[in-house]
Amino acid sequence: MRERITFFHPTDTGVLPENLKRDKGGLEAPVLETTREDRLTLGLDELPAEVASVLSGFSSLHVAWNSPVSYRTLEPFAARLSPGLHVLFQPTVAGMSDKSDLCSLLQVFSPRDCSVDKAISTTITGPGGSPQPKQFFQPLEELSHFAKWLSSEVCGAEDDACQSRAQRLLFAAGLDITYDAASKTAKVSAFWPLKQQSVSAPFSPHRRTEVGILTLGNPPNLAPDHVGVSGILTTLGDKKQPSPALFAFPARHKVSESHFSTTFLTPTGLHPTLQLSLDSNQPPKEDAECKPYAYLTLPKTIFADRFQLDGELFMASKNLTALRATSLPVDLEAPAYTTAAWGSSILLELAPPTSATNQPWTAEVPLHLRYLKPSASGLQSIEVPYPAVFWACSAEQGPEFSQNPFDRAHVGYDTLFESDTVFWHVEPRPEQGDRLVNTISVPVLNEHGATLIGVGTSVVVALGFGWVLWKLYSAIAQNGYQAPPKAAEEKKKR
Amino acid sequence: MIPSALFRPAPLFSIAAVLRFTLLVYGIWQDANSALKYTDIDYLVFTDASRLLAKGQSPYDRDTYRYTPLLAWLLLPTAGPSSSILFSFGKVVFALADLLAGWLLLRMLQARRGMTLERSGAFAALWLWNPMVATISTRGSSEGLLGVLTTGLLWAVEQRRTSLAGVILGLGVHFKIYPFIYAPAIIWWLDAEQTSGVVNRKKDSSIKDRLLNFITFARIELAITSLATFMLLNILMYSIYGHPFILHTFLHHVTRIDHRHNFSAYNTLLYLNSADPSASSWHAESLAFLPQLLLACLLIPLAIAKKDLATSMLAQTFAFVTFNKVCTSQYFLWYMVFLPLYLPSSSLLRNPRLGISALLLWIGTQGAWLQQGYQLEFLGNSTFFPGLWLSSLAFFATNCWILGIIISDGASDKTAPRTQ
Repeated sequence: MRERITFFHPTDTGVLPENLKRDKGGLEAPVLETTREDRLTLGLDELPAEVASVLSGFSSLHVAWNSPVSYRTLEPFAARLSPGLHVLFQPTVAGMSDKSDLCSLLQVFSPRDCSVDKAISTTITGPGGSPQPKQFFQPLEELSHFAKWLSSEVCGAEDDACQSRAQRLLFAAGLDITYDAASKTAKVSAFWPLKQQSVSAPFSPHRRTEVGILTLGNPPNLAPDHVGVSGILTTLGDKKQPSPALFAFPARHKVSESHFSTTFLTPTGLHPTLQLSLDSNQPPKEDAECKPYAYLTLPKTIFADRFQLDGELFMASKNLTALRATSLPVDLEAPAYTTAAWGSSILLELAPPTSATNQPWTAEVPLHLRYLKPSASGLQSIEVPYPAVFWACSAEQGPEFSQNPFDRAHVGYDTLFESDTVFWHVEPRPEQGDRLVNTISVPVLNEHGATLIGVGTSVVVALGFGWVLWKLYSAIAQNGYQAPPKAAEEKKKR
Repeated sequence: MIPSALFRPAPLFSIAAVLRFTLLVYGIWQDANSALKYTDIDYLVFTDASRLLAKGQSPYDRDTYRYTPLLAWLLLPTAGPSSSILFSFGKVVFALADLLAGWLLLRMLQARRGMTLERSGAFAALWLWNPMVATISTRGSSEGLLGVLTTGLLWAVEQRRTSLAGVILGLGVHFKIYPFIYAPAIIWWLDAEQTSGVVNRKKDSSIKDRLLNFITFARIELAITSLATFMLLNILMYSIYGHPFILHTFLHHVTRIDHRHNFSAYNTLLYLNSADPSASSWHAESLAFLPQLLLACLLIPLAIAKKDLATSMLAQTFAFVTFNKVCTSQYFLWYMVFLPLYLPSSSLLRNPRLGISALLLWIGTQGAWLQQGYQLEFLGNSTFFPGLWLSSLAFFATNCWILGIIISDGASDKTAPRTQ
């Protein structure tokens, strides 16, 4: 088991070496405005048997969670996802039912009755048509269930360090779990956003813990699309003094200087339009080919009609270029309550205004609501997570992103692009409050009418049917059913 | 008033053709210049399916293609880019089908009902000049094909071309299922009186004699030709497209929930019970086929078909659509095509107050529903209950009332009207 704890702070703050306290308990420094990432690398044999058995159902697995609460970040932790829990996976046996393994995995993150609430995945196909992993998404507000599970199932009752670590997950903004059957290792990373927080890393004799306190730096000969980093690195329990470090690595995810927010145009009706408002139409990089995209993760209550998102005029009128990818299956008619799949995701290329001067702009995504179950108020509120909005730029010299010690791959949209694509993320800003979700009030049947509708429909249909029967009866009683002789004769003549 | 010379065939059809041509060209212009498309979404489904077909794929690879592959075959010329002029080929076919249906109506009005050219032209204009009909077909909805199939069926029967009628019937059922309701009416109508002019109404004939009399050559001919056409088409399509053909053209209509709002009286109940199948003990909708099929396939043909086959077919279609579990405005075309044949002898025309009341109620209750539907669909107001529900029931009641009038008219002893 290996552990890596990394603090990234803005260049204008930092920790003076004399304030860094290292002792048997670990490492401590004063409160600092910084991000924090904890990464554990575990062998399959180091995992609890229960977890190992769930993982054995997957040949590869990527779980990524982002908090719906808006947060600030720094490079290299630039990647953004729609808030919620994303799972990308390949089952061990292709084509086998993946439901039970996926569902047992999901039970770790939220209460779920796998006998009724089956988790049905989808597959998104990119332009290349290369095989993609199965995908699943569910909204997840926080990691409390996961933390509880960790503390009771994984940490020993008296392992205080593990218990407090589980508790700290409640304040995390991101979580990544990566498992690869071939390497038999699982990596778990948790991320805490940029804010004032204490710098501390507890020492444990059971594992090797590396700590880095870093900031963006400028090493000489910094290659394009690389991130330079400077600061100090140390290994806990090591006698050596912390060593200064200056290094660089290629980065798949970068922070663009712009931001966006989304809102549903009102009235939303049954066919709401999601409006993306971006503050800039300028690509983040001058000398590369860059195009803006939105990757939408839509719960099953709402969907995009891939056949509608077509036609140059229509798309241009919404400031869209084209629908580049869509997950399947997506039923275009079914109500939410009979839809098995979790929902859908789409990748849209946006069409910014081409003016050379910077200008804010909007793009509109036409969506459709599914019918939801009746409710007592006649309305049902649904939440739609913010999309991930980014500029995808072609990189120079085909960088090896895997060299990046903080690389975040398999975030859903990255595999839909060429492998050397750099994603410049546009920062999501809440329209109101601090949550990165849009809410729609969906009109549904008022359940108070249930009895009346049942009885009333039957009575009216019965009366209508009775009336027609009566007219039929009186018609036959009066005139019989045979053709009048005259008419028959007339026909005979011809 | 419209000068009666306009109802002579040349101006009658010219105006109908110009109307459609104008709408077609306007539609092409709007599609090319506006983000809001004139072309119906269904047309994009057909043409997508034709495009798949041209690439050697199955039309059912296009989601929501729920039609016979014949339609995708017919529209193969549209498989090019949607900017090409050939893309409108299908709309031209549908519009021509409208005109052909109108021509058949004209022929039937003149032949059997013995009307003057102008008067029959005026009634045919109800279909030919109907803006709703022209719009629906030029937007690319295939209902116009149904219009020509059903009028063609009636025309063939009235012409005693029984084999042809059987082929059209088989084709119609393969195409859209519902024309099967005409089979019992035509069978009932094709009695010995009609086919050989033998009047045999002896009250004392035994059941055995009656049964034997029922089995006529024409009836067997119709049964065999229609069944053979229907089955041959199905076997052909099944052999090419396999299970998806059966699934999407036929089984889909058995399994669909129809939860989305539409004109049907059952609609709200279907939504309610599909959302929570265990909650309600009222599952009247599962018996919905009973009144619908009893009226459309048995009782109405029995009462009217021998007296007036066209009115029977109108009333059957009207009953089928009114009592159906799903009902959209395109279904109205199914019965509208028969109106020109029924109206000349109808009490709705003889008694203008009755006719205008029926028309206003039909439009008014539909308008009320549309207003509630607009509130729901575009403004997001929860109008499912009571607004949409009540207006769909009111529309249903209006339709039942009108159906009663049509039945009374069709069943009344009358010779073909000779009002000139």
